[in-house]
Amino acid sequence: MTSWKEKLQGIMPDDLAREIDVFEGQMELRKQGKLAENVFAETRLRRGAYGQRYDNGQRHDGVETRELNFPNDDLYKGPDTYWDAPGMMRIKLPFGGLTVAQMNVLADLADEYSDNILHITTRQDIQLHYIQIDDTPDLMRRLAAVGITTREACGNSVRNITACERSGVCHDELFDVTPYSDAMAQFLLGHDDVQDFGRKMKIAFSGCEQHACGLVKMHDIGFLARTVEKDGETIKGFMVFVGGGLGTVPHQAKILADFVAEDKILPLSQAISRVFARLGEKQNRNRARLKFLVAKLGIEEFRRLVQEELEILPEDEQHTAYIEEKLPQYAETPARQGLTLNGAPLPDDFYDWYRTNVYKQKQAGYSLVTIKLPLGDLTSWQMRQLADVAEEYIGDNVRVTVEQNIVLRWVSDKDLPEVYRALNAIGLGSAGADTIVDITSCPGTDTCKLGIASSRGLAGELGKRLEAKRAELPQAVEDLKIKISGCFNSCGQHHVADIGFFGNSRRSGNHKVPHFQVVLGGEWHNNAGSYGLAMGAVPAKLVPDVLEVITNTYVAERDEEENFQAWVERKGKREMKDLIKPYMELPTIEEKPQFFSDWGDSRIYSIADIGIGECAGEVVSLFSMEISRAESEHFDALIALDEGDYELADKRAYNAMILAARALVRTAFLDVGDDPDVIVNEFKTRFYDTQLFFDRFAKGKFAGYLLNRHENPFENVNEDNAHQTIEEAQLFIEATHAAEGRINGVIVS
Amino acid sequence: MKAPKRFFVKLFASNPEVVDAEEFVPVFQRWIQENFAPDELIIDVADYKHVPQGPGIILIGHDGDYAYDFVHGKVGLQYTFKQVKVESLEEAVSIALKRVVTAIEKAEAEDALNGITFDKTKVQITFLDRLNYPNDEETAKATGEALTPLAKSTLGGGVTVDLTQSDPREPLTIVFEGEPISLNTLATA
Repeated sequence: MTSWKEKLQGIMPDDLAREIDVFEGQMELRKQGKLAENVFAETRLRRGAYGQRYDNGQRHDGVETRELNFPNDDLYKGPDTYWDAPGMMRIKLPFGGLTVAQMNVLADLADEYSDNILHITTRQDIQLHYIQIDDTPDLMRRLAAVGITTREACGNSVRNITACERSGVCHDELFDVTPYSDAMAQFLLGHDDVQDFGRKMKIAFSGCEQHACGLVKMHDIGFLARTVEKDGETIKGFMVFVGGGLGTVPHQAKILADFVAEDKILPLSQAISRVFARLGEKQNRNRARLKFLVAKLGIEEFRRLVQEELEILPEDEQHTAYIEEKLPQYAETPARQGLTLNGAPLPDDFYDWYRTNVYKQKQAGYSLVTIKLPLGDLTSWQMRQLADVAEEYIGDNVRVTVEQNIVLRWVSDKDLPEVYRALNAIGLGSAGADTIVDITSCPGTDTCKLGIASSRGLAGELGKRLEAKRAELPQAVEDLKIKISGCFNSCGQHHVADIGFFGNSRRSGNHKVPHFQVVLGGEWHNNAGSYGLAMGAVPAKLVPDVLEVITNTYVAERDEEENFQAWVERKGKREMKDLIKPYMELPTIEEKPQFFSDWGDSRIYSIADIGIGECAGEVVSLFSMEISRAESEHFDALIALDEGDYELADKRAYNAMILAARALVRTAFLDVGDDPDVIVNEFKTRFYDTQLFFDRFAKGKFAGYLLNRHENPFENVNEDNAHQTIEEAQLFIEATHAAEGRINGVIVS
Repeated sequence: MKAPKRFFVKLFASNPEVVDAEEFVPVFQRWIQENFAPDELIIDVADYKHVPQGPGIILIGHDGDYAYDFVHGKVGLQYTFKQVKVESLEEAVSIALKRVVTAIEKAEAEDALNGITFDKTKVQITFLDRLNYPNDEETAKATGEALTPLAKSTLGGGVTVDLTQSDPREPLTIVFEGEPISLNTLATA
């Protein structure tokens, strides 16, 4: 046997095999220089092959930035991305579903092509890191042989379609949304109408309203199960949300339709896609998600356009074929009969695990077991052993979750002790699933090109500390959610946690200090019902202390039955900020050198190896003073938002941006004055047009927030756009800190 | 035999209790600064100490990875050869052995690793190439035979070969045991 292609011929579905051959051909064209870098970049992204940190051939090793001399130093797989640099492979699993055969293949791929680790993402994907691009066609073939495609796992397309891991077994759902999410995934995969987006589109399905479920309110399109009675018949359908999303500026989704019958959801998604492709932003990718289009047009106009599109949509039998062809056949088959857990001897610690990791299904005698994965990781060997556990006890009823865990569905209650023993034997029997110790984190600086601080390092540290005292944690604290992102892009979903953190940095003297913004009061339940707000940035090394003071104060002050969001709301932002304020002070490196390294990293976070003269020192001092005014103004904007004065909130957030811009302008032009027009003009001329404000990845995105708000103030300020200005102001201030650091001589790693 | 696409060689720690795995993070980060493997491109350190029986702390490279690894609960230092450019199996394993033994000798000399030592009498080789090295009896026997001359020249004439395979889904693994291996014996092999 000479190749996987030959070995798997006839096993892979023809269409998937053909697509992979085409991709392999495109790789060859790129190698020959016959396919442009940027075209190939989008091509590989749409095949799930993503970039990874250091793929531009540069790495700061703690002393200096050094070149990474990859072998083919003139061959690129995208702009500024070396061909030989390791990358990440994202494997999309519609609704998170996994079979035993798929688990075995994924395990093989992780040890043959990756670093022996399978990483579960917050969107029910699996990621393999440190992949060589030349290995990707065979990797894809082996996946195709077990019915998995990586097509459109990344890139400007419809990403993995997610659904609640409890769909079909949940007590509170209206009906099982699994087959609908699957039908949607199949229908939109490679569809002509989803190939011309300015950015990605994320879709989710929920069976109920009150739980986190599918998190439909933070998705581009969300489908929430609904039924109506008509002529004595129950008709299944969905309430449809559009324009939600986290990212740098989070948007709550709007209701597009109260009820769309099941036979109409595929054409509706197609019509939305066509409107998005036609009218969505294409040039400025920072405003290109569907949420910006919905916000720009308003939900009424967007609804009208979608309706108009629906009316001219070509007939397509696929719109309804799944209802007759797939829905009636859809069923999960348990491997064993559902029996009760009787008086059999139980392993040590069984009840602790049972309390947090076992959910009684609506089907009598069965339970859903959650496997809590540390930082979403498991090894090849664990995956293989887990496949055996699944095969023996539940069959193909496995799903990965948006909380970076794995669930085993349809476990007979009688088998729970044995399943617990089996999981413990392979290191997967940890209790505490879905509690405060079960922390979500994006990859952060470990592997992500955009990471600013070590989200995984922080998550690991917090997890270790919380785990050590888990037995003593009050229930109110145990129930909290912590979610961490390595930057403002929200891959760790920090906006919808009770306590969220996202990475940034601050300057102290000639050094950078890794920081995390503290985001409080987001709501995971009610399908990501509300978003938290940033309260202030603290040094990364103080986050455990900040967490402790927040949780202790919550326990001490909460009224009976008061949840965290209500407590944050009642306490108010001023008091919440006062709680963390003592931790926001920046020490010097001489005072606290440990603050200048990130979690899990022994190196100095960043070293300025060029001297700063007294003059520059004064300028820095002036900047620090002035930027703090911007931060105060931003905080006042938050208060105004809290008090329902949206116009004032928007105005103060805008003022905060002006003050931040002024702080930066005054490092070069002291006499800029206070006139916003002059400040913006000077900022634009000196820092935007010259691209001094630009960072490597975001370019001029954050400056655009100020320029746009200055030129185009809202005519009517409402809660949504006030919130948007506040979020944008926060990011602009962060970007100003970063720009000042770059411009005034700090080495940024 | 033709060299596999990817494989690792691992030597087990004799006293893993003397050092926490996380101590390898600063050591590996310093090794990058010192350019400890000038013939290889070293990229980063990956920390998986949170994963039970996992790959531990990995010094990620382009050509290969060095790891303080705990897979299957057996703590050791391993070199995963990822870019095998040589034709023969024996030559590839020889290169990998030199690299891992170099790293081991360096690790043993690190004060920060608190006197950790490795058992140099036993070498585990695992073939991460199921296409060309399937985990079956025939391949195990052929591979064992092909590598025995190298094993004898590095681990002494009385070397033993363990071809025992456990789960056939796991990658093919062969263990050689004999006299302690060193850079000197490798140089003359």
